[in-house]
Amino acid sequence: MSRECQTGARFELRDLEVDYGSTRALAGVSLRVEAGEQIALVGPSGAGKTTLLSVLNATVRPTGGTIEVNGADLTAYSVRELRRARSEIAFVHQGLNLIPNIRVLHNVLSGRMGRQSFLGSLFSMLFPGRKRVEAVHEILDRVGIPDKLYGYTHRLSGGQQQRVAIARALYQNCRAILADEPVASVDPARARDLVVLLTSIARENGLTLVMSLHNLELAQRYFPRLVGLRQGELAFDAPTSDVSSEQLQALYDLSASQVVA
Amino acid sequence: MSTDPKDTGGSTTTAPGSTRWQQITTLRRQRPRRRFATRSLALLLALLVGAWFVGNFHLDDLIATKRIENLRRFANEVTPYPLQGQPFDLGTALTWAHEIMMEKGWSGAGKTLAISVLAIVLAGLFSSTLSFFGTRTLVSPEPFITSLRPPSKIRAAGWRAVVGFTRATFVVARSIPAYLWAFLLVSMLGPTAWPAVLALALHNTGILGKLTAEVNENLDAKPLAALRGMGASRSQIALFGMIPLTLPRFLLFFFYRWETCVRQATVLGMLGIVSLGFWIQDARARNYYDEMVLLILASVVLVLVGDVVSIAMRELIRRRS
Amino acid sequence: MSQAVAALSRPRGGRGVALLSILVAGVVAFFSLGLDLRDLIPDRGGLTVLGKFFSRALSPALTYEASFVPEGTQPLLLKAIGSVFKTVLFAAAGLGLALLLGVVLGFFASNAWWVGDVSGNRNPIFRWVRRSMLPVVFVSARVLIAVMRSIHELLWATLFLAAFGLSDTTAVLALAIPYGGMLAKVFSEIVDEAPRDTVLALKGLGASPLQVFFFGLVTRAAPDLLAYLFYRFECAVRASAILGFFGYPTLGYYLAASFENLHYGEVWTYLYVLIALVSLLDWWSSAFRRSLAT
Repeated sequence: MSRECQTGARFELRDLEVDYGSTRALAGVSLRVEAGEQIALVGPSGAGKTTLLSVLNATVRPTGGTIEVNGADLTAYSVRELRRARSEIAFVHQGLNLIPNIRVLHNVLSGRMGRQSFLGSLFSMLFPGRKRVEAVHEILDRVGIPDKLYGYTHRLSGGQQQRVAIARALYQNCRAILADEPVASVDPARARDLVVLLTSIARENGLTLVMSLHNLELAQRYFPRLVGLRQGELAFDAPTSDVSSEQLQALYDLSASQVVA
Repeated sequence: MSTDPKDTGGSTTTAPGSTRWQQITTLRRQRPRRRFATRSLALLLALLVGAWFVGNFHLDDLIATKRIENLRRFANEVTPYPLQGQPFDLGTALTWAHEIMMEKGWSGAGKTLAISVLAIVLAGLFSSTLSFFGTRTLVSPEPFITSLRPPSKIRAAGWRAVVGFTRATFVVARSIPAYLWAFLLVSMLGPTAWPAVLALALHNTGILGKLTAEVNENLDAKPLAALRGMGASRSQIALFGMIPLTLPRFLLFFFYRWETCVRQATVLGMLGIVSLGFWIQDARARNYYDEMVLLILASVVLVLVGDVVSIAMRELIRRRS
Repeated sequence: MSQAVAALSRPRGGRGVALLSILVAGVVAFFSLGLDLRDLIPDRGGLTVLGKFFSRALSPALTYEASFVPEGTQPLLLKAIGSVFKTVLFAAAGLGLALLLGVVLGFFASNAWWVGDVSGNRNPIFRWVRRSMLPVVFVSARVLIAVMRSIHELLWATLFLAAFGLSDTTAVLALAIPYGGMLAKVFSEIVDEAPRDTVLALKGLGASPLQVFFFGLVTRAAPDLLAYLFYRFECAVRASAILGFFGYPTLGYYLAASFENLHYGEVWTYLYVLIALVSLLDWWSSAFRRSLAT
């Protein structure tokens, strides 16, 4: 399996700013993520977690500041280089974002699309061949749904679909997994299972993992480092054990945020 | 059509001892399939492609020398008559177009529009009334609530016959294209606007009736059952329960069908009814191709205007409901 | 519960106005056409036709009604089946070409594939092309589609008859152009309305715009696209039958000929054949839709 995912990706953000029109989504965020590190992003909704993850995935262009992935400046990349960069970083979305009306196999196969030409991807979807199907089956085995290989995606439960999304991320041959509220739409017991699955897979393969979570308990329990975001700014960035409950409370405290505003 | 029994996305268990490839082949054999859909699609595509090999169709036929000559002659004749062999002059062209439009274009377009409007209004009246007779949930021995005493078989069959007859009428009405209806009616009613109006009304009654009956059947049964529970008759349920609930959808269909009515009304004129199509046919018969093309362009404008009005109305209905 | 009933029966102001204006439009149309209700009753000639025509409704002809049938003429039923074959053939060929036109034009007319690639592009020439040329392509595709579909297939047939003369290919073309326009319009709308969540995901894993368009949008919209294609096939068959009135060898040709020869039994034969054919296709397309819905 080590063939699939090489060493984890390193990210370095400096004074990152992102504006959507007149609204500021991120303001002066600096963050270093080492290869193979596991980070939980916490903060109220609208704090800029999704934007931060999108910047790391090179789908949102920062308005100011720099972002380096493995030491290379993303803002200087051409379209083709950006595609390449994205293909090395997997993104597990809050909504499922799978293609619903095709088989699980094909959804997982779509993970490699970033490295294929249009016709190449079409061909590998239509005629995957034994090697590819076995690789997909092996990944599905690891995420716990090997029997769904040929099932239609939209007929699976929410938790199973999230596992398909993780399988697609793994098949992508990635160096980092970014997950945006991956457990928002599943029940608490399944949510825990999914977080454990993602963290252990990332650990086994030496992948960098950045996950945004609403559930503080899960974040504290399974992640060694917490990053708090609030109104587009970094509230704290520390090992989990150093983050005090006052800090966490302040993060979600609406009255305090009104004072700042 | 019917769902495959394995379609549940089922949890097949594979023997743990078997190799990965064996497990995969087992899964593949048991995979859920949409046989009917795939086969239907394959058949349709085979028809669409195969027709070109079976039939006597050759696109290169159109660029054969004889055809090209025809086309060149046609292109020449399409030039407005006063401009043929003359240098182009916009003023002359406009005067020419203005004269034709004043003589027949505008009145033809007006007639076309009036035919389409009257036809769709009639179709709306017929279909909304008839649709209730084609609504299975309403036309039954005891609509929406279960009766204590099972209804007699004969009565149930009678109600079913009403639905079946209405639905069959819809099928016949919409299977026969408006042009064919008009062709049959012209010989019986003579060349007034009635054959065109009735032809369009009949065909669209079939279409709107079927669609509306289906919407009626798919309504949420609870409020209707409540009405029935209060002792409402079938016609009261239809009037006070179903009409308010189906009206927005019905109006969407209504305007959508009106768009096609405008297109059709033009063409029905070719049967001798004085809409735009009559003048188009007339110009063709006299080999006045310049005039013919001008009138066809007028029909394009008419259809586009109809589209815009219909889109605006449908948007209004969507926002209101 | 009674509240729900009250809410149901309360008339809505806006709708009342809409219904009333529709009715007024109908009345205005009626008077502007100068219609007379008495014209709905056929005159004596019309009545004769009517009586003779409907008297054969339940006894469609199984053999020719003409007193003299030349040796070697195909039996009527075989001829009817042959005309069905031709009708389907013309419709299929027309729709085949229309599908090609519809897919290509529908691609250019959908705004999903060129609006807003978030990453942008640093190459100024490329960016200029994107900003200025693509909208031009988009708008001209839309205009072309509008013209193609607003001319009725019978008007296209009239045009082509005048331009090329009578040949089977012109009939197919007359079907293909308006249907191509309709398919293109509906295809582009369906694709544009497909949910965009998968687009985001595919972009995130590095898919190219073409891959995103095809796998993210078209695949998602495919059931609706195909259902519409089946529905259009039914329409094409009806249109193809009518093209017979213009001299092409489809159902309408034989039907019109029998009608003009006052062979009403034969007319009913062709009518029943047409109804059976259209009902079969109607069943097929709704069965297809149902099988995709699961």
